[in-house]
Amino acid sequence: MKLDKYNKIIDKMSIPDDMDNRLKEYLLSDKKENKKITSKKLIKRFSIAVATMVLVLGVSQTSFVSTAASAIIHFFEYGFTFTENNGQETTINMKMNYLTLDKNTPMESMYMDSIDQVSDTIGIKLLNSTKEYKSNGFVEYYPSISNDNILAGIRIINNCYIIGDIKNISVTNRKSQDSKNMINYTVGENYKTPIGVQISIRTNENLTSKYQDNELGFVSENTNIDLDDNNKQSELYQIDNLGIKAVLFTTQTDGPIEWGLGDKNIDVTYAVFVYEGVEYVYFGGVSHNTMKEFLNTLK
Amino acid sequence: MNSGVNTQDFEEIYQKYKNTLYRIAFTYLKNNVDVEDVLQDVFLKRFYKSPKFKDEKHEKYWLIRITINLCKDTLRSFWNKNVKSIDELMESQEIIQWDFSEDEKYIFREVMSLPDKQKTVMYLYYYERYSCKEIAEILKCSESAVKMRLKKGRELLKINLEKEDFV
Repeated sequence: MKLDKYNKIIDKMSIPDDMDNRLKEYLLSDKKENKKITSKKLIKRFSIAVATMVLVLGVSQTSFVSTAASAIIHFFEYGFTFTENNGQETTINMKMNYLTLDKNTPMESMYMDSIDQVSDTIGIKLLNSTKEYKSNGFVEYYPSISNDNILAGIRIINNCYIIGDIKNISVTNRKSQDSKNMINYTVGENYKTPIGVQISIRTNENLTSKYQDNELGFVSENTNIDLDDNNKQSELYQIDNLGIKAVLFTTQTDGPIEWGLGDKNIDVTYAVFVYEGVEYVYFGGVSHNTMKEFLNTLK
Repeated sequence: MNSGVNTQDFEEIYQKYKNTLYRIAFTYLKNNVDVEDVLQDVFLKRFYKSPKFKDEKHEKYWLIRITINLCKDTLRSFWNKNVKSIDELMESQEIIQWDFSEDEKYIFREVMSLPDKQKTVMYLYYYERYSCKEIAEILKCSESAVKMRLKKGRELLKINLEKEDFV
């Protein structure tokens, strides 16, 4: 391949006119503190991951401190609404509180070795399972920091949290901070992939509506989605250990890079709930029953 | 415009860097929706939170680095793990709008199939004409890492070398 051909291709890759106009208009406007969320972004964000989901996701309240309001709302709440097998419509609310973390909570992204290590670091006891797969550096810690260097929230992700009956596991350690640890494995009878976890904590109620650089959980802004209900696999599950209900559903996705699925989509079961103000999302190539067995190990 | 940002300054900076940053972001994200979000953030940071730059060269380095970091954040996002496949990309509106010839489409596909690190280094070296040393400074990695990524990229693409300063 000649260099001039490469350069000619790159020459053609210029910013489209419509994007150019929108960017200029936005950047020159006076309303930049609240980041504009375009309808395209909402559609893109949800259409791929929820193409076959059955839940209707409605956000009931997101407003925070308002100088004109007589009541100050101290939590971020959204809801899952879905139709159960008996035809009854059910709504379950997810209410995340604003938590105070240890004053030495890290303000930069890093890798940690376990959920307990994160708990010790931030001063909040997070749910953990006795089945946690212990391997160095799999836990990803992401703080969301505003432009004024205030912590808006944190996300903790481990895409290889539980390995279940997966076999022949080997770990390839990351070669740099930019890359990820990779796991090679043979699928088990019940686990086609590991179960991963995303834990989201909100820490500053003044920021959530203004700061939207990163996701601050399963839902980070007002949304209202109509979902395809032709593939209904959703249910509520009571986690007796914790005394709360989780929303379980299944959708098709290719999963995180660590699972090694490439472009292949498989059925992935999700479990979402809020416990003591913290949002937990578990996801894996497992059945609902296997997910329930796992949820019962959390404490 | 908000006070403190001169419209003329904005125009100048935006026009100067928009396509470079667009190309870098697109190689990572492969769709215009996410690219637009990232570019919004990059320019917001430039105008409201950037450090003082020694010179134009360092300003550009900073912008490139911020763009790459924001792209990586986007890719790491819970909902963005479903990255477009190469086949989907080749059928997308973004490709159609650029009106590539069949030959160009083939080359574009090969380039976009490279890992992100190699694509970025190839772009900075062959199109932006930075040296390996400069690329290392931009990406905050070693010069030898840059050279290895270039070597690997070339092997994968079988490019005919025309730059003589690569060892």
